[in-house]
Amino acid sequence: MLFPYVQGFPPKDTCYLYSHMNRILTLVATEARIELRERYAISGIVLYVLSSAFIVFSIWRQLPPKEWGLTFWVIFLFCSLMAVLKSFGRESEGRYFYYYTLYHPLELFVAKVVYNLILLLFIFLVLWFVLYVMAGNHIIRMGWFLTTGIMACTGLSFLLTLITSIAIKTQQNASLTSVMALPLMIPLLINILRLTAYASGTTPDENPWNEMMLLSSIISLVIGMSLWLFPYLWRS
Amino acid sequence: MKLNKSCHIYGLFQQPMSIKSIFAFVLLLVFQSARAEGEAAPDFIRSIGKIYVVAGVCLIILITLFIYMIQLDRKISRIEKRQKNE
Amino acid sequence: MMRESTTTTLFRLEAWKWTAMAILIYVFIVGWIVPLKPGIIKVSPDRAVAGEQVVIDVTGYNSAFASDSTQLRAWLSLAGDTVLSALHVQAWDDRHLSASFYIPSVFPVRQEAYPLTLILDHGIEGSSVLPNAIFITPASVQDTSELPLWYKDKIEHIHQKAGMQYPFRNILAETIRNTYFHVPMWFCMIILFGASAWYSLKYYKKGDIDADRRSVAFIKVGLIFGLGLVTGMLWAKNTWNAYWSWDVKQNMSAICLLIYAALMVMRSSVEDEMQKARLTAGYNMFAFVLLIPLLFIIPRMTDSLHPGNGGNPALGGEDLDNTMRMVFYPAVIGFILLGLWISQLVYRTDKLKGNL
Repeated sequence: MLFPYVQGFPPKDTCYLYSHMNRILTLVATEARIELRERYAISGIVLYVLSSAFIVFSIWRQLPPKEWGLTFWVIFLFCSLMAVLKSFGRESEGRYFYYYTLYHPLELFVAKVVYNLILLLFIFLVLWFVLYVMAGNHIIRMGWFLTTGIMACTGLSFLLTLITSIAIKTQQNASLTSVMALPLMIPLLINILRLTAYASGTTPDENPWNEMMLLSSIISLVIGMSLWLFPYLWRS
Repeated sequence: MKLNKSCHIYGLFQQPMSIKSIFAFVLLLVFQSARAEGEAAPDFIRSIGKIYVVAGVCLIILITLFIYMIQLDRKISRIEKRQKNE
Repeated sequence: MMRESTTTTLFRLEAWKWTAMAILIYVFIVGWIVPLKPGIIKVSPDRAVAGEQVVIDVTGYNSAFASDSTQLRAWLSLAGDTVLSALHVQAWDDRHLSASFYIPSVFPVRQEAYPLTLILDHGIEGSSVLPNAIFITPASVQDTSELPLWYKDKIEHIHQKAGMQYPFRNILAETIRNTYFHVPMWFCMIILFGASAWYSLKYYKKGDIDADRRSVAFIKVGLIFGLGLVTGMLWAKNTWNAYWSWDVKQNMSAICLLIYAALMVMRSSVEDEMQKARLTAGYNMFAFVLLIPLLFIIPRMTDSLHPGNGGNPALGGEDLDNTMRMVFYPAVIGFILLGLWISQLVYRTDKLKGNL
């Protein structure tokens, strides 16, 4: 009963799932096409990352490894908030109504999440590159940091998409998104920071699997809850 | 020889005390208590085993609950007034 | 006859509300009047050199040194079996005594400095302990023949005071009573938020606006019980010496309050009633599920100044003895019942307001 729309699973013909995937991919592609058509959108994100990184580094000048990780995630958080908010705020009421009649909420949600995930991964890589150039690389275990980054992007894109979809239904969506999302990000962030500390070799803790397990369980909680709640919240 | 000496020091007061040793003991005490008096007395909230911290905590709880109850009371009065007017 | 009917309605309350009142009255009375066990506040000097005789002045708390000074005994202990007995103990008044010790010039273990624990035993008042009472710096000339002095004495025949007392802890002193007033705030807050999430689930299932009202009433009162943060700050200032020390449990309760405050802000910025209720229910359930790792898993993995750090966020046996349990558990139950009572009042008010 949790997902009334997907009650028919497993589908008798595999075409069913395939068509879902297709529709979602079409949505993502549309989304991306719109974003890329407006040239300033993507360059705006890159510029945002650059300028915030520049401000932070002109204050710090030299970053020890521990502060490197903290700064990275602080900049990343605010950039991702901005980016997700922008991708939602762009759309008009009319378009939502149009989507609502065409697609199932879950399709819409997954499409949004996938699009935001790509956006966040892009920000992650850009930011990593910028910090690499400006402050040097303090990451010893690249694989761990990359995994952490991918997991963080996944968790945050689900969380931010859900929260933004709540916030756009209110009068003051921009400030409410950050007010509602930031405290909820903290459990994710604590684990991400610990894993980053491990990746940069600043903690004596040599068993990161506990953190990884906790992070993945929190992320799966976020995913499960948001998939359950989005269709309910989307109705209006 | 050495053992004897140490036992002697150790058992200074366990043997019947000589007047001299008691005198030394009292002298030491006077000296030390004079030194101890120079220290500042603890501030009000930390006096009597910090009991005023407990008082403060209880007061904060009670005052907050009372303020909330007063607000609730006023809210109900307003509703009653409106009900009367209708 | 008129008066009779008003009095009967005045005192007609559900049983659990009477229980809440009775429990809280019990908690406030017993929490305040039961005395602390005698303790040691201060020892001076707190430093000495080995190989010499040292006379220390002890300041007691709640003690009665003078009342039965013949049975006063004192020890300095390095570890469990290495104990020095006092050569002489002299009580000046109920709060002050002096004791003289001979500190041998050699130690059974080798360290930079040797912290010694002071143990006092009184025939009636019982024993009191001050850990790390005096620090001994090693002597310049060490006489190995003094080593047996460490093993000569034993701590025996410790007295226990009869009756009900709370344990004396050094930094805490009387503030140990805050366990009954500060700690239940947190329990109450969590229970109220949990109840609110439960009613949100109910709203999700049935779409009944009444469930939404209940859930919001719980959140409002839960936020009021967030005053545990303020009482904790007052307590922390006087024990840990800072209002805010970025302790994991402080942070988590602050985050908890932030989340629910954001929910209330979100509610106030939606016009439509049904929309408001739906968004509240969704966000509330999402937030409560995310709070579970935040409140119950992460604190277990982090060091904390709060009792039961690293592995067990509950209050362990050492922090809460049997006497304290007799007040602490009722206090938790009493405050939770009070919270439920207040939120019921809020709910009824909101309902009246909505029906008008």
